Amino acid sequence: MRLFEEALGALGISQDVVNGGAKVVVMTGVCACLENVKGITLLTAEQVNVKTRGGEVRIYGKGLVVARYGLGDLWLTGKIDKVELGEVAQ
Amino acid sequence: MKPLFFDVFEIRASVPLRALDKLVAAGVTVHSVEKCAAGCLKIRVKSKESKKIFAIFRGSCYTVKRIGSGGWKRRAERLLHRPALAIGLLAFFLTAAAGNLFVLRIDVVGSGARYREQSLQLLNEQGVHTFSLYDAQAAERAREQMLLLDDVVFVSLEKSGSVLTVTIEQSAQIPLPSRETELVSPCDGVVEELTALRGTPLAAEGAHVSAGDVLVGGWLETQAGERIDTFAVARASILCEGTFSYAASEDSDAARQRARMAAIFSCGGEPLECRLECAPQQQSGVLYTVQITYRVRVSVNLGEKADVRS
Repeated sequence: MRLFEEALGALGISQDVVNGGAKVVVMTGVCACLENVKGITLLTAEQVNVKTRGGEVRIYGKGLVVARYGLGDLWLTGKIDKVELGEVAQ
Repeated sequence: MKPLFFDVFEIRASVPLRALDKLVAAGVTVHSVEKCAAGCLKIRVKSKESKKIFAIFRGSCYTVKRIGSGGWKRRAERLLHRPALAIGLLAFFLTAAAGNLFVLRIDVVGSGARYREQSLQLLNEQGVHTFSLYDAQAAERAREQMLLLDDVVFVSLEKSGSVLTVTIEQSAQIPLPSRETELVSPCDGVVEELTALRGTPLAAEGAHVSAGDVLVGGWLETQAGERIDTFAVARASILCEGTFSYAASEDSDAARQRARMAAIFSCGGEPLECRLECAPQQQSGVLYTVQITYRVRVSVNLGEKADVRS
């Protein structure tokens, strides 16, 4: 996730300020890596909803599997079609 | 990335995803989370964290069940269920490891590979030979002795498996060719010309010399009379005379010509004058006597070949 640090540095934003916000990196059709994950609210092979401090990330695709989850990081594998950012559904 | 040793757990609850949060909150990293049925999750965790799982869910409403293991742990468990196979594998690895302690082959490589026999003998004297236990200290002693061989500048011993490789490198310096130190007359004759660029002339032009006489000595004399050994750089031409006899069945121009050519060839020098005398033999045929005067040029350390017989 060095790219995040470089991008934040270029924008002049301290990492401490944005710490806790969702960081999502998607490798098209292969996997997605998320940081600052607070929990998983939905887990199916077609959709995974991930709760972050600022909201929710919804990932759509096929054959989705949580390859690793721990220490705030989540590694999702499968064919990822779409990623949505939004508020936590009540 | 899956851990090498892991256990597979099944978690059953009304909301099993909460169990994941609980595990993650306790510092456990879960792998390959799959939803196997409604209210059922299958997860993999590192084997060393298995006990932690049960401790975390003790007294809760989650039903946690260990359903198997995976990775190398599964292979190890399978192996333990087949003791004969385990013993066989263990015996194989022990044999292979023991085999590495022995020397089964010795290779000698490098520019000094021609010292193969000597190096094998030196190793043998120290007790390092094929089918023997490898002793690094004995091999080091042999290595030190190999360094004493002529022109050997580097020796290394490397044991890889059961093969001992001896690398011997020789000095890249080419030894200087031995230099002739003095100019010697190859034949009897008269010195026609003598040029000494280095060394001490011992014969004058016009002097008669015999074969083996030193014409230019390989030394110098200082003004103080001190003699310094050096090498001669000189050239000389010597006028020589020779007599050669040849027999022929009958006298003819061709036979005379052959006798002359044979004499010229035999003298080995530059012919200057050639006189032929023919005398009949008592029984049959003739005897040619060829008297030839020829010039012999000799030199030493001038980088040119002399046209003399050796």
